[in-house]
Amino acid sequence: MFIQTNKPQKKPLLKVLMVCGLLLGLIGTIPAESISLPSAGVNRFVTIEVDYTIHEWWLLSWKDSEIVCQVYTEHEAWPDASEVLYYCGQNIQKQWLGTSACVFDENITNPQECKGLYLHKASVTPSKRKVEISLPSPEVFVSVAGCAREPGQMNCTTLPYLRLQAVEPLPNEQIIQINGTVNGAGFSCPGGACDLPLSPTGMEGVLVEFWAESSYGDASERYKAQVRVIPWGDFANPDQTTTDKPSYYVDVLSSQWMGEGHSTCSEIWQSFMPVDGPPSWLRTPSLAQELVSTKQYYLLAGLLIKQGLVDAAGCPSGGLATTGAANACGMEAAQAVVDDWQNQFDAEIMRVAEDTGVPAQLMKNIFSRESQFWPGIYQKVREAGLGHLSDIGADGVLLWNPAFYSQFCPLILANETCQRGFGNLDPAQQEMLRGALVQKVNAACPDCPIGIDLNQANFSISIFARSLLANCEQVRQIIYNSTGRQPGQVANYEDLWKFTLLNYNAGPGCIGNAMQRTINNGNPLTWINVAQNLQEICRAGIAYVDDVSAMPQAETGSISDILSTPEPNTYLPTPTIQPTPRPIILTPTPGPTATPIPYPGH
Amino acid sequence: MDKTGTLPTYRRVWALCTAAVLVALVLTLSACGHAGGRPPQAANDRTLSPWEPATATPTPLPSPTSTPDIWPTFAPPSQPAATAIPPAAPRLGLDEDVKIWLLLGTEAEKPYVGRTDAIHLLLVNERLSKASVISIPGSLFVYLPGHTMQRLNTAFALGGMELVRDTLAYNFGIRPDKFVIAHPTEFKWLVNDLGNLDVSVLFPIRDGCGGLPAGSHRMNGDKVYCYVSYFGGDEVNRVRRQQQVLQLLFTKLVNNGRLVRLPVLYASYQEHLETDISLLDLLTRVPLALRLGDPERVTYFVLGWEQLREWELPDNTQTSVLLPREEEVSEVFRQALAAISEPSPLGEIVLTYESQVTIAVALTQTAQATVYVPMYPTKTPTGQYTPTPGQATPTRTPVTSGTPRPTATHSEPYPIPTAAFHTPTPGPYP
Repeated sequence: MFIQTNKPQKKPLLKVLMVCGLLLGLIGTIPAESISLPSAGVNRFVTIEVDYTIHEWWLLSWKDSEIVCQVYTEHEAWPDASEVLYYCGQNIQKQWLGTSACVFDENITNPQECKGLYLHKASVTPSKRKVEISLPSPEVFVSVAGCAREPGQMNCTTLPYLRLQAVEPLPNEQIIQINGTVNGAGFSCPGGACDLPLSPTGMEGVLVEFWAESSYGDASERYKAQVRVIPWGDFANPDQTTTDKPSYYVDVLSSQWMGEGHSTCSEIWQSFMPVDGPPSWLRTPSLAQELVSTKQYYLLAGLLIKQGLVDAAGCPSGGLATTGAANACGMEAAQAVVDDWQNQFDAEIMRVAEDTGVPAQLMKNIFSRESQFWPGIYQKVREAGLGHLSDIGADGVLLWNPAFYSQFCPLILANETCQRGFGNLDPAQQEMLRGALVQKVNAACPDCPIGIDLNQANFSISIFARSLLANCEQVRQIIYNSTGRQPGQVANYEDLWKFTLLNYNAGPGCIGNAMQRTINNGNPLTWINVAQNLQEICRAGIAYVDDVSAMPQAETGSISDILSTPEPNTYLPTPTIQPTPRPIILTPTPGPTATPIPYPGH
Repeated sequence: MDKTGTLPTYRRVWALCTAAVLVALVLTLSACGHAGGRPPQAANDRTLSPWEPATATPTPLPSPTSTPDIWPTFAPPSQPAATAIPPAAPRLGLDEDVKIWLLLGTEAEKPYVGRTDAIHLLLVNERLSKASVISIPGSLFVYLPGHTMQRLNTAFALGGMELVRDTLAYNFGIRPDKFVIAHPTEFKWLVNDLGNLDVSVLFPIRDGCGGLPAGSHRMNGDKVYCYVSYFGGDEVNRVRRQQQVLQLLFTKLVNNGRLVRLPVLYASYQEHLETDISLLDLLTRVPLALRLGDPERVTYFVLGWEQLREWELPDNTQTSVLLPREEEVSEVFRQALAAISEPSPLGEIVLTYESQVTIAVALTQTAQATVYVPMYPTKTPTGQYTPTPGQATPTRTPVTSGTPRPTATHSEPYPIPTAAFHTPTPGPYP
C-alpha cells in the first residue's frame, strides 16, 4: 500500500491553474442547461476505522548522508523496488538497485567512500484510516408457483404464476415494493413477494423486468426474465374433438431463476430449451440412479488392475495390453469394479448439476469420453481431473468465468493483484494461476491406497462444470461478435451445446472461423452447417461432439482417444436431418379480428 | 466505528413534487395559460363563472358531506421492531369544519410509487378560511400499524393510502380526509405550466442541480424538481425547500385569475395523479383557495430538529433515521390547529385575487364564441366584481397583463405516460 504525499507545486504551474480556475469560474456563471438530478442512488456501505502502521524510510547517499528520497510503507520489511520507484522515480531506483554493499577494504576505509544509496528506517508511526465496506444489496428471485402437475408430467394443468420474491439482507430494513414491467407494461406489488398471473405467450416468450425497492432508500438491480408459456396438446382445438386435458409448458430464462430445471447456459444464451425437453444427453435426471452406466472402459480397467484393485492374475499378461489398457480377459475380470468406479461420482455430478445448471448427463458423458472416469493425469498428457482440464481449459475458465476467477485467484495471488482481472495479469501470474488450477483438479495421489484422492476427484467435477459455463459464455460472445445477436436468436439449444463442446475440445478459433464462414455463405448457424465449415485441423472435434452427444448409447471410446490427438477425420454430414419431434402447439382461441374502420372520406 | 453523521441518503428523493402539485390541485388553483403547458381537453374545457365576493366576516359554509367516523383499531406488529413501538397518539379533537388533506410526492414515475419523500399535511378550516401546512420528513421512524417500526415514507408502498392514514392516525392522532400523490413528471409540468418559478436559494447547492449559488433563480420544472428533491445530507433542509416552493406555487396559482382554468387543469392532470379529490371538491373550494392566497391565512410548520432526533439503527449499518420527540411534535400539531381556529378579517389581497379571476372569466367569455357552462354551483355569474357594502375597496388594481390566454395551444403533444398502473394484484399479460 502506498501513501500519497504532497509534492511541491511549481509556481508557473500554479499561475496557470489559477487562470484556468478563474476562467472556469466565469464560465460557471452561465446558467447551466443540464441538470444533474440528485438521484445517484444510495451507497450501501459502512465506514470503519482500521489501525495501520506507517514505516518511513530514507534513501541516503553514502557520500554525504543527504536524504535523496523518502519512502513510506505499511509493512515492516524493507521497501521493494516498486515502492522505491513509486516514491523516488526511475533514476533513483536504478541508482539504488545498482548500489553494492559498502565493504571496507584497502580502498574504502569509511562509509563516505562508498558509492550509491542506502536505506535507513526513519520512523514508525501508528495511524488510523477510514475504510468503506460495502453492504449487501437486495435481490429478487423468480420462480413459478401454482403449477399443478399430473404425476410424472412436467406440464402445468393450470396457468401458473410467476412468483417474484425479494430478499433484503439488512436486518432492520425491508422490501417495500416489487416493481416491474411485462412487455413494457408496469406492475407493482407491495411488500417482498409478488405473483404475476401468466398467460400463453408465443414461442419467443415475453420479457419481464423486475426490481425491488427497499426501505433503506435504494433498489435492487433491475433483473430480466424471458418467460414462455405454451399451451400443450390440442385442447384448444377449435373443432373441440380433443381428449387432452389443458396443460401448459412454462419455462423461464433468468439469472434469478430459483425453480426447477435451472439451466445456466440456457440463460447465458437466452435460449429456451426445446418444449418437449432437452435430448437425453442434455438432461439432468431427478435421481442419481438414472445416471448409472455399465460400460466397458479398457483403460480404466487397466489402471484398476495396476492399482491392485482388480485381481486379473489369471489373465494373459496379467490382464493388461501393451498400451496399459486391459485386454479382453482383464476387462472381463474388472467389469464389476469398473461399474462401481464409473458410477461412484454420480451423486456429486448431480449435486454440481443442481448447483451450476450444467446438465448432469452431459458431464457424465464428457467424463466418459475424456478420462474414462480416471481423474489423475495420464502419462505424458498434461490434462487433469475427470474432465481432463488442460492449461488451455484452465485459461478459458479463468478468463470467461469471472465469478469463479474471483473466488479462485485470491487463493493464489494477492487480492489487489486479482482485482486487475485475469486478462490484465502478467503472463507469469497467469501461468501461476493456470498451473494451480490444473493441479487443483488433479486427483493423482501416489501416497493414497488407490493412487487417487477421491475427494480431489469430486472437487474436480465442480471445476469442470464451471469450465463448461465459461465455454458457454465464450460461445455466446463468439456468436454475438459474428451476428450481433444473442445465441438463442440464431441457434437452437442443442446446437449451442454442440458448439460449446467443440469450443471446449478444439478451441474458439475453430468454432469462430467456422461460424463466420457459415454466415458468409448465407447459411443458418446449425451444427450441421458449422461442422461442414470447420477447417481440416479442427475436424477432430466433430467426432468428439458426436461421441459426447451420442452417449449413453455410444460404445466405449478407445485409449487412443485419450492418450493421443486423434487423426483428423473426414467429416461427412448426414444428408438428411430428422426434425426434432415437437408437440402440437395450438394457439389459444383466436380473438375476433378487428374490423378496420374506414378512413373518413373513403 | 465511525458514524457518518448523516441521515440515510435517498435516491431520487424528490420531495417537493408533492408540494407543488398540492398547491395546484389541492388548493384548487391552477393556471395553465402558459405556452408549454398541458393541452386542454375539449370535453372539459370550461371556464368558471364569477363567484360571490369575499366578505370580511367569515361566513359559515355548510359542511360538505360529513365524513363517517372511521377511526381505526390499530393492528399489532407483524415483524420485530428495531426500537420500542410507542403508544398510539391521542386522537386530536378537530372542529367539524377542519378538513385534512394529505399531499404526497413520490420519487417514482407513474405507474410506480416507491417512497413518498414529500409528506405535507394540510389542515384547513373551511369556515374560517384558514390553513396550516405541516411538513414531515420521510425518514421519520414511526409505527406502521400491522407492520413494524419503519420510515413514514414507506407506508404508501407497503400498504397504500389506507396504511398511510392508519400510520398518521396512530402516530399523530389525525386521519386525512383527502389525499393526492404526485409523481415527478406532473410536478415539473405544473411548474412549466405556471411559467417557471423565481426561487430564492438561501443555502447554495454546489454538488447538484447544476450548481445553485445563493440568490434568486428563475427555475423551470426540472430545476425546481431538483431543488426540492436534493438531499444534501440534511432532510429537514429539504423539507424546508419543499415548503418554500409550495408557497411560491400556491401564490402563483392564485394570482392573475389562473384559477379560471381549473377544470382544464384538472382534466389534464387527473389521469396522472392519484387522488380521491374530485373536480367538484376543487370547484366548490375555489373561494376558499383565493382566501388562502392571503399569506396571513396560511401558517407553515416543519417537523424539524426541535421536534426530531437522529437515531442510528442497532444493526451496525450506520443507518440513521429520525425519531419524533413526542411532546414537541404534539405541540406543533396543537399550534397548527390553533392557527386555524381563530377568525381573522380578510386581507385586501383576497379582493384583488377575486377581481383578477372575475376579469379572467370575463375575458374568457369574450374570447370564446361558444357558450360556456357555469361550473360553480352557487351564484349567477355577473361578469364583474361587485364590492360588498361595508367592505373595504381593494386598493390594488388588478393587473390584466398577466391574464392567461383563453386557450393554451401547443404545437407538440404533451408527453403523457402510457403505462398502466397495477396495484397489489397485477393484471395478466397484455
